[in-house]
Amino acid sequence: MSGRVLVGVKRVIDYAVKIRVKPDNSGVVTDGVKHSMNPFCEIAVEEAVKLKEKKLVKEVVAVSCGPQQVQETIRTALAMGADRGIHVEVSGKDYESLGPLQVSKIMAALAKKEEAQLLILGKQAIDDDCNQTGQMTAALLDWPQGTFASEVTVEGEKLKVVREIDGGLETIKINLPAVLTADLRLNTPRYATLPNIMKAKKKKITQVKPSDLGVDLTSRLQVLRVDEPPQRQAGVKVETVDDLVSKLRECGRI
Amino acid sequence: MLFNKLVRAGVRSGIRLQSSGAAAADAASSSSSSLGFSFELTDQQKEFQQLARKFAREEIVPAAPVYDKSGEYPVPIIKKAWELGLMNSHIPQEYGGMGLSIFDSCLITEELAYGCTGVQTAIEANSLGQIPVILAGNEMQKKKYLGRMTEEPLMSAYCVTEPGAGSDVAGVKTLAVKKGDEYVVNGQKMWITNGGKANWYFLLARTNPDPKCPTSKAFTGFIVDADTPGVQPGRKEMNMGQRCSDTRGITFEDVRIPKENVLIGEGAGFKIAMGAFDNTRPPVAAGATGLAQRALDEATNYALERKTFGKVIAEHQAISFLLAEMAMKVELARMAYQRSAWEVDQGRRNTYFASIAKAFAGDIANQVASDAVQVFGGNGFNSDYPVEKLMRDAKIYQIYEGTAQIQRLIISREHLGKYMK
Repeated sequence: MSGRVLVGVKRVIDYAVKIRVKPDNSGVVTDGVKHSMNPFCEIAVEEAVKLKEKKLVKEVVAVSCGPQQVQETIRTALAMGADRGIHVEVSGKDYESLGPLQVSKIMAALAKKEEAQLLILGKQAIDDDCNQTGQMTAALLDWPQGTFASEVTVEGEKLKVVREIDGGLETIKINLPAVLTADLRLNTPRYATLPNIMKAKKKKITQVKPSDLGVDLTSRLQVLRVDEPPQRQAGVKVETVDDLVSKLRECGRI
Repeated sequence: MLFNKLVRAGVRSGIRLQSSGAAAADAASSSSSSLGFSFELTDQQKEFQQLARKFAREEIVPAAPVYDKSGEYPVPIIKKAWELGLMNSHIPQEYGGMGLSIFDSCLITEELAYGCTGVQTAIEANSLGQIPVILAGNEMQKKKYLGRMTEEPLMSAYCVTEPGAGSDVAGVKTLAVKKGDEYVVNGQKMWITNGGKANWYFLLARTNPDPKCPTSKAFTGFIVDADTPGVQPGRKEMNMGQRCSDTRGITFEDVRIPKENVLIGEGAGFKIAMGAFDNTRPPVAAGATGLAQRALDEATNYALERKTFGKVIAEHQAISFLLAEMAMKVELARMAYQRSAWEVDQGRRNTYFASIAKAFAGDIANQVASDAVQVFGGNGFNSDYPVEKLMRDAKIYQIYEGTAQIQRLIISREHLGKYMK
């Protein structure tokens, strides 16, 4: 296999930030909050760069959808070793309602336009936890998918993918071109080195509009309300196992 | 009336900073560039800072207490920092380095110091040893001694202090005698950071033994390969803090240095040794600021968890006022080192600002670390909590790189010099 890999990277609220719900319950506070690349997307970029270092792919292209700020996320991918970036401009109301369906339509269109051999995404984003984009994109392209990948090996024109499933590990073989989604144990993302950060500035990021790709961003979903999870209630301590059993019976748990 | 005063003040500061030119334009975002003065970092500076911060929090912070207890030299961390390009930032690009400005390297230094100042000092001492070569070396010397630092993770050291001469550099007694095409050096150096790990040293030795010879002509700067016969590093000294940093005495016994390793020429040493400080004091101040920031963060987090008298201690003014004063000091120390770094990057002599930054940051690092222990109470005194290490590590910032007292000497001289006719 030798060709182009597309990696989708999403700009999300940093994992270490304490999330707060907006007073009008329409969403979470994002203004002035630290954002970074979705951790699973970092793993996806790392895998793509590794494939390039093994000379199994020629070019790694990082893609992100959103307003101007997502260029920072693309730059991080470039500093990790991606060759160039594509910024799909989505802003305002469109960005607020951007979800897996729209992104997978964009990804599918780009995969065709860029003649990609492989598309790697993170398994899910830590803000919406959808776990849908990879699967939907594969369906739209009619490509095979290796989701929850914890190990990927290239075997000629096929990929051997070890998937993390509830029962353990499942190994499958899929044809290229394909879509992979990265799970936690696939690899450990590298730090961008200082020289690479400086080199990344010279790498190209092309701007594209969804309309150029023939994608309609209309959402079929409407967020009605966002609430914080209920406050954790204090527990009750019991003395013996019998007490525990009777208390559980009392509240109808068993 | 007030408005006029403000406008005039704005114009005055604008004119004074006009000479900053390219750097300011580069640093300012489009909204603030019209004001001239800017606190904005460029995107690249922010990325550098993020990298250093991530590295420090993930690699240095967890390992620091272990290295503090054992005193072992943090080789794996140094190697990783070298691989990421976080070391040797001052080396110009033509010798394989990053050629970063002093400001950029200060940003990195502060983040690394947040993790552990022992590790950060080991890394910074490299810069201290290299700066004389960067400033005063000829092409051959730079290629030979700076080039190798970017090819492998090597260390260098600044070898000036002696058992009998610290602040009084003119009192250096190590003697270098010219014999044919070599200098033969005899003497004793002390408190040399990276003394036992360096691949080469910048050495200051006296070449003119005549006591009447003026200081500015009596000393010479040399580059000495550490494996030169006669160079004998002493034992690793056990210090109060920054314990993983390698500090040693070094004996020079009939060490022969080729004349090619003289920086500039015989007698130029004192000026080179002192000139290095204007470039190295801002990063040292940045290191002290990183330590102070860490102390502030630890104390604040603790104060929001620990409860006394029915509330978290942060809600008692005794504690919140303490934290407020700690915050004041940290912010001001940061502004001070940033100004001094920016000044030298503009190509100006920054001695006044560099000494102010180093003196202030060293002093407040000690105050803030001590206050952090206080906030932790009994727990703060205990080695299971991170703040007692900070207090021990902070002390050296008032001593090395020019003692707090020497800084005051320099500042008063510079200050009075402005007023004298």
